[in-house]
Amino acid sequence: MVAGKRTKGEARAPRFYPAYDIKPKAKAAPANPPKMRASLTPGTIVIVLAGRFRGKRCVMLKALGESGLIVVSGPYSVNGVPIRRVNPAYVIATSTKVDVSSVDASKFDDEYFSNNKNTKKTEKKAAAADDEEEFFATEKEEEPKVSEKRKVDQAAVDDQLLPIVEQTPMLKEYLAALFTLTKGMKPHELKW
Amino acid sequence: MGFTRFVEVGRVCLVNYGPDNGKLGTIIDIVDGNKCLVDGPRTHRPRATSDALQATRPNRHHGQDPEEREAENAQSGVGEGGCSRAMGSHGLGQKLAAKKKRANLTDFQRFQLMVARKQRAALVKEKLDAIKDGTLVPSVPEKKAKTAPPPAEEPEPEPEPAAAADY
Repeated sequence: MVAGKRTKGEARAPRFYPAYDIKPKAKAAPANPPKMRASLTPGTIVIVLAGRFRGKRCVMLKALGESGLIVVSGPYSVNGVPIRRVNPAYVIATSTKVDVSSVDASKFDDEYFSNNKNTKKTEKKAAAADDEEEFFATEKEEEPKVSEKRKVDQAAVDDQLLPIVEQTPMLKEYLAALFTLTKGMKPHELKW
Repeated sequence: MGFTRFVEVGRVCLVNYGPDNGKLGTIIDIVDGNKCLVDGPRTHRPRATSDALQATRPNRHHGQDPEEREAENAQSGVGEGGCSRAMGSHGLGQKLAAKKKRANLTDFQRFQLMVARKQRAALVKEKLDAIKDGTLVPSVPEKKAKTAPPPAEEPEPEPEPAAAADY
């Protein structure tokens, strides 16, 4: 190469060089796909242990391969648990299972549940900056609204799930009942 | 009735812990206040333990079986038929069987059992109230009244193995 001349498309040589060698960053090992407990299969009745719905028994619909979470549904009409993602670590898998192969849960992936949470914050900020009075007024938290889309999807799944649940006598009542530990119950010794 | 199930020679007992846990045997000899020699050849209890004087503490033991009481020889008392059979029909044996059954219930079955117990309690209460009101004569042999305690007492339906038998 002639000094000062570059052929077209040739990269310009850097003017400065680092004083010492910079080691190239090691490539992060590809994340292993999450492993699901053998006891957690679609249709398993699970007991949610943490969060808003702790103590509720609900039906597992599917496992999410990407996040490692599971999708459960109460069904909503039975015990008020909507279709939602749950961390399987906070769930007891029971040996009771229903056949949910006929329930179409294909649309419920991680993307479906991800909320664009940023919009809420920016909206709030904007609203607060708008008006001083509003700023000093006691902040009213907006009630989280369930979107119509979610409602429709919930109803669609419930319509499929309810008849399956009702096939087993007392299963509906079982799902509606809260799980609690009572005197003398040792969870590590119990059979689920 | 006072306590009758004493630790005494010839008493059929249930071993409560150790390698022979859950096995039936007969008290052969009382070593001291804490130990006694137990043997039970037919209940697959290894002889060696008793020969080596490894005594087990029969802190829960089985009532003497009238069939076996006559048998002077303690070992022949723990016959294959006698004790094991008696254990099945005996209070303690039933209790143990029920306990085992309970321990193996799944969560759903526990729920069903809970509901069944509630239903039974309601039935008992219904009959009991009727007896209290005088609308039902207690001597009437009611199917469910069997589990009902005498009218003077509060209804306390015990978890009876028969109710658990379904699960």
